[in-house]
Parts: sequence; structure tokens; C-alpha cells
Amino acid sequence: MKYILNKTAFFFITLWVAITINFILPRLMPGNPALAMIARYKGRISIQALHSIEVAFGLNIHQSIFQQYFSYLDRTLTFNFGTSLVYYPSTVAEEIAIHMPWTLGLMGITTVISFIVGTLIGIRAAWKRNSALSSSSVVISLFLNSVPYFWIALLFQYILGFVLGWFPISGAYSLIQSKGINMIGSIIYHAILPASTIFITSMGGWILTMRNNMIDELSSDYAIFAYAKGLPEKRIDYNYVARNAILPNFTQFAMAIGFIVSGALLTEMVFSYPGIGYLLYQAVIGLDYPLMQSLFFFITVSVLVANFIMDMLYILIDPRVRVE
Amino acid sequence: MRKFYVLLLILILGGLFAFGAAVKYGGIVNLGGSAPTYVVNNFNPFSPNPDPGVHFVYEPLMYVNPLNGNITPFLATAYKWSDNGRRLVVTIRKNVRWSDGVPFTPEDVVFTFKLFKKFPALDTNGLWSKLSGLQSVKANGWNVVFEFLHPNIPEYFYILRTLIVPEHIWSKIKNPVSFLNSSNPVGTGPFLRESYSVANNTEYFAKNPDYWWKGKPYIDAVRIVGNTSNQAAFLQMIKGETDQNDIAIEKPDKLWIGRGAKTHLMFWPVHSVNLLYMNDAKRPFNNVAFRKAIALSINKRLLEERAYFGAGGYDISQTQVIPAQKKEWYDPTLSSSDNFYNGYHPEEAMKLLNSIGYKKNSSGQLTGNDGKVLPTFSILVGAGWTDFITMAQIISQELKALGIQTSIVQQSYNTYLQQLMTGNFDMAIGWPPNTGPTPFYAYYSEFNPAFSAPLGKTAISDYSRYTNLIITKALDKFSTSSDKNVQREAMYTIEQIMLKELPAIVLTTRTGFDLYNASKFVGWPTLSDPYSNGWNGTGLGMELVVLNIHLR
Repeated sequence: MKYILNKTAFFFITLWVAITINFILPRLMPGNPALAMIARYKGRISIQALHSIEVAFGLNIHQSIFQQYFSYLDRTLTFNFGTSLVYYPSTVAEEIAIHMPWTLGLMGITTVISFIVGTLIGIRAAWKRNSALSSSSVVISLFLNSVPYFWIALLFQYILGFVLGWFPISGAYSLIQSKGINMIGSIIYHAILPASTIFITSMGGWILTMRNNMIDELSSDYAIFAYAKGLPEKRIDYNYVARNAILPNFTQFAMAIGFIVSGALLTEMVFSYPGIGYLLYQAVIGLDYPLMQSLFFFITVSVLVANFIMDMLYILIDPRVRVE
Repeated sequence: MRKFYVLLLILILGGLFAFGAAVKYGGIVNLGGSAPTYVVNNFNPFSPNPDPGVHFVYEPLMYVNPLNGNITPFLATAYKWSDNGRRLVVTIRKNVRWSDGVPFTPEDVVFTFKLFKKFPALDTNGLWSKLSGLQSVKANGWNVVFEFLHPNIPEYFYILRTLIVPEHIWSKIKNPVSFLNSSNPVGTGPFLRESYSVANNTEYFAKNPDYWWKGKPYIDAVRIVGNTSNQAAFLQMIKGETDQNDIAIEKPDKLWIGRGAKTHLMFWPVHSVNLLYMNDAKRPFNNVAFRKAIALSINKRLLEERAYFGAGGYDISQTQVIPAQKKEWYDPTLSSSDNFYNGYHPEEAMKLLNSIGYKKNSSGQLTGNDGKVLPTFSILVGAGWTDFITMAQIISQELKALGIQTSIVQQSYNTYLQQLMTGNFDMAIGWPPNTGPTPFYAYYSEFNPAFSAPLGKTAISDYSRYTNLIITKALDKFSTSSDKNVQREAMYTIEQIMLKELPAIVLTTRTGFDLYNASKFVGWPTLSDPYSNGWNGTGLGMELVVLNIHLR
């Protein structure tokens, strides 16, 4: 019980701190979005136009910083995110609604699959420590983990997409309007290349950490005892050792799930995929306060929520917590 | 009699064949825009980030080609200045209909301009600003009359390029500033926005069957295929998924034209120049001789070679006049002085520095009369602009030879602009804040005292903070006279000051970067026939292009 209360309190306090930092940070950034507008018009914009744009952007509200903070808190908690500046006059909600599903789909599925496959390979690689699988998996995962993502993405796009022509080089679905079943097929077809590049580069991390955790656990007393007792290897591996070894990985997985909503900027740039990552990049570059703040808010909240859920699930999967 | 009919038949058939051989109708062209290109929900032509396709649905009064000043009439057929440059009378085209069938009238034009007055946030060309002096816009039969408080002839460039929107729809919109206009936008243009997808970054424009320019467009539809990076955009071009894109690729002759000179075209017209801005309000850049020394120590040919592989040509002028406008506006008596400062003369530069009291000390650093070593100067460029970074590196090395230490500072575009505007820089590589069909526009944006400001305050476009009464007077003379000779004299005056004082140094030409794939469609603009300036960032010139291209 204490555990639940602890975690819940932690969640709310962290949330409040994050929201406050979210308010302060963009205002610390140098520059003024309206000034950026003048520059875009190469000085041709009149002072009146500038003034009007500032008003339209909500930039010249003469409120004290505290008033601004409280109105910001109020708007955030009622999910009223306002109008984007870079994508003016689209509202922030519209822009996010268009881009978020693609990010959730691509990143969500890839993260889950990469976690599952990476963990399974890690378990296998840990048991048969001197096997070909173990050594090769370590080397390959180290390589994949350290190679720059951009390079792999461009390589895949060029060879598989351009030279061999097996997959489309960009876009979320086919240009020629496809409807119904065809559309779904087209979406999947277009997602294969970006998804595989993310999958390949992130899998390495899971394999390595799982393998390390497993090796740790395998040397513990109960594992040696079970082996000595004659239980089949597979059973020891999966039913006993892996269950314990996977706990740290789960926590990391929760974080990864939370970070899905930050999108994959490089993937989106290389494959022209319509995700949140590029939206965030444009918002930061263009000093688009409303869009930036709402995206940061989403990322923070989803990481915190994912962590919180994981903390709660911990009660089920780790009995030690229940005993405390 | 029979012979007559046979002859007639032959003539008709011959005519049909000739006509048929001339232009094929049909086809869908895929435009990549100007990488990165985004299709957006918002189809409001006056918003800060308009959709790339607004120029296919909405039309200007006239298209003024910024390269050479040539004019193509669209919704207006003629214009005339009178009353000493205080009245502009524009004759409106008859027999034009909006795409919903309502007739287009001069009232639509008046409404559009008045809309800018009522909602200044839409007036992104500053038409109603104090500087432009526009007082009133009225319809007079089939003419629209613009009255100015003071003569302002160069303003025609901004008035004529204004896109016109329908009064019968926009008068009912409460807040046109936030008006999305995304469903069935009504315009007079050759295409209609049939569908768009923000997620897939594409949009489709079908031919307008009631378009006023009979016989055009030749093509059936335009599809805009967006992209988020130069690499993806170029791959699309090579694969043939797009027929046009505005991307600054490296080695274009090898990577693009090399794939087939007849079908892979490159249209990189010079429309401006790349400048080395110097902070003329700070020491030592406030000293003319110092600025001239820097100019002489930079190898400008090398910059063009390394940054653009010679694609922009080597015809630069320290007066900032571009080659296409030289014939009309360049003072020929300046060429020898121009050649001198265009050249690379490091020994002369050193002599010049010595003459104003700067000498190299024992460690090779340049020292002033007071014995103090010159501080390290920053060269400001935009982050990731590889061409500017290359140039900055070369300039840095060349200045080092003189004993001047520099460091290259990269900033994101917004911060870069911010620093230019507030004067928080020593040197910076950039381009004139504004350009147009005559050299006036660049000079006006760079040297008009109204656009300047002291260090620390925001200068709208006179980043170097250089002003000169002679230039100010000449700008005034140019804009208040419609006599070509008076105008030319004013330009000559400014050009002379440019060479005398060198407020900024011209490094290389600045070109557009249009690439065309002519295997499907022909009729693209070329250097020998630059009827349009291509996409060139905004797509304003593309309406003329899509009206001109046709199937091979």
C-alpha cells in the first residue's frame, strides 16, 4: 500500500515539475517568433502587419509572468493547446491529430517487436554462452547499436528502395489514391523500410542488456540449484531465470514506450514519413511555443504514465514489492 | 469545284496535323516544389506558410519576372502611372470567371486590397505601410485606381504580384487571418484543388475547364509530391517520381545532366548575390579602407568553384547588379574598378591595411596603431548551410594570411536572422533581404534608413547599419520618377557609392536551383529562354510554367 501511495505521489509531483519546466524553457530560448516572421518576409512586412501577427499569435499579451503561468496551467489541464505559429492558422490539436497516429503506429509497433525479439535473443544468447549465437549476437548488437542510424537508413533507402526497387523510397502510402483494403496494404508496404531500420538499430540494445541481466541471474544460487536438480534447461531459462532477469528491461521498456510519442526525427526526414518528430523539429526551429509546449507535454506525460503503469504492474510481477 | 474542296480538305488536314504536331494535350505533371516541401491543410494564400499550390488556383494581376523585369499579364491587361507617380491605373481583364461560375470583376480586386487594410496581418507585402504610401484603392469601370500619398513607382512590383481572392466568398469570412480555406478554394487559376493529404504530403490539382486563357493549360493535372529532405527529394527526381524540384545538389552536371542532357535539365538562373555582410557600425569595419582590404583578400572565383562548382558562373559585380539586369542598369564606367575589387589581390590588401596603420606583429597577427592585436572576428552563417560554411572556411583561411583571426559561428536560421537584425555579429554570409526586377529593391532593403537601427535594436533589413545620404536621395529619385533616364542615373549614383565605400562584399552569384525532367514534359524555362524564374522558393513563377509545359 505504501508502495502505491509512494508511486502515485511521485507521479503527480513529477508531472507538476515537468509542466512548470515546460513553461519556463521555451521562454528562455532566444528569439521571438514574430521577429522570425519579419525575417521570413524579408523586411517587406509593415509594422502594422507585424503587430497584428503578434496579436494573432497571442504574443503581446501584457500579463505578468505569474498570470501567464496560471493561464498556461489552466489551458494545459483542459487540453486547450491553442494555435500553432509555424503552421498558422492550424490549431496545435489539428496538427498533432494528423501526425500522431503515424508515429504511434510506426514507433509503437517497432518498439514492441524490437523489445520482444531482442529480449528473446538475449535470453538464448546468455544460456549458451560459448555458442555461435552468443558470440555473434554480441558482436552484431554492438555494431548495430553504435552505427549511426542515419547511415543505416540512407543505406537501406538507397539499396533496397532505389537500386533494387523492392520497397518505396518515401511516403506513408501510395500516391495513387488507394481505398479500403488496398490502403492498408499500401501503408504496411510503405512502413516496412522505415520500420526495419528502426528495428535493426534498436534491437541491439535489448539483446545486450537482456544478455547481461541473464548472465547475472544465471550465477545466482537458485539457478545453480535448479540445474543441479536436473530441471530441463529450457524450463530454468524461461520460467525462472528470465522472469527475474527481465525486470530491469521492463522498466526500460516502459520508458521506451513513453518516448514513442517523441517520434523518430531522422526516420521521418529520410523517408518523408509523416510523424511527430519532424513536427517537433519544426516547432523548435520556428520558436512555435504552443506546438513545442504541447509536444513536450505529451512526451512528458506519456513517459510518466508509462512509468506509473509499469510501477503498478511491478506489484504483480515482482513479489518482493508486495512483501515490503 | 471539286478541286476546291480537295484543296480545302488538304488545308484543314494540314492545319490539324501542324497543330497536332505542335502541342499535345494531356498528362499529369508531378512537381516536387522546393525541398523540403509540405502540403498543409491551410490554403489561405495570405498566411505566413501558404500551401505550395496556391499559385495554381489564385492568380496575380500580372507576373513580373524578377530576373529580367518582363511582364506577363494575368488578371490585369495593362497598367499606367500618372500624376508624377502618384496614381497607378490598372486595367482589369474581361470575361474571366471564378471557378464557381461567378464573374470576376474589378470589385474583387478592390476588395482584396481593402482586405489587407482591414486585416493588417494579411498585408505581408507591406502595401498599406507608411513607407509605401498607398492611400486608396477604387474601381473605375474596368480600371482599378491606386492613389499614393507620395510617388512610389517601384511599388508596382508588389501591387501586380498580389493574388486576388473572390469578394463573394471572402466578404462572408469573419476572420480571414485564421481562415483555412481548405475545402474547395475558389480562384480564377488554371487548376482546381481536387484533393490533398497532409499525412501523405501530396495534393492533386485538376484542370479548370472554364479557365480564361483559351487553349491552356495543355496538361490535365498537377500533382505536388512533398518531401522532407534534400536526399529523399533528389532520389524521387532520379527515380522519375517527380518531374521538377528546386534542390541545391552538388555537382549537378555530373549527377543530373550526366544522366541524359536532353531530358535532364538544370535551370539555375542568377537572381541575386551572396554577400559578406560586415558590421559597419563597429570598429574596424566602419573604416572603408579596412572593408576594401578584406574584399581584395578574398578569392571569389575559388568560392564559386568550391561552394557551387561554378554553376553560378563568375560574372559578379561589387555593385550587386546581377548579369541579367546589367544591360539596363549597370554603369559601364565602373567596370575597371569593379574588376579590381572582384579580383584576388592579397598584396594590395596588405598595403591598404598598412596605409591605415595596421601591421603584422612578430607573431603574424594584425595589430592596430594603438599596438593592440585585432580581436578574433566571428563569421556568422546558418547551421547546416554547407555552401556558406565552405565559403566561410575559405574566407577564414584567406584572412588568416593577413593576420586576421576569425571563427565560424553556425546558428539556426531564426537565431542567425535575430543576430543580423540586432547587429550582434562581426561578419556574416547572407544575401540581400529583398530583390526585384531592378537593382532598386536590393538597395532599398539594405540602405533605407527606415530599415536601419542602432546596435542592439532591431534593424528590419539594413543589417550592416550602413546609410548614406547620397544613396537615400538616389532611392527617392528612382521611386518618384517614371523617366527611365532619371531612374538609370539614380542607379548609377548608388552603384558608384557601392564601389567607393563597399558596405558589403559580393562573394558569388546566387541562383535558383530548379531541376527538370524533360522526358515526359517539355516547355520548361531555360537560361536561354527564362520566361519564368521557376519555383525559386515560393512557387510564384510556377503558374506560368504549368501553363507552358506540355507532353513531349
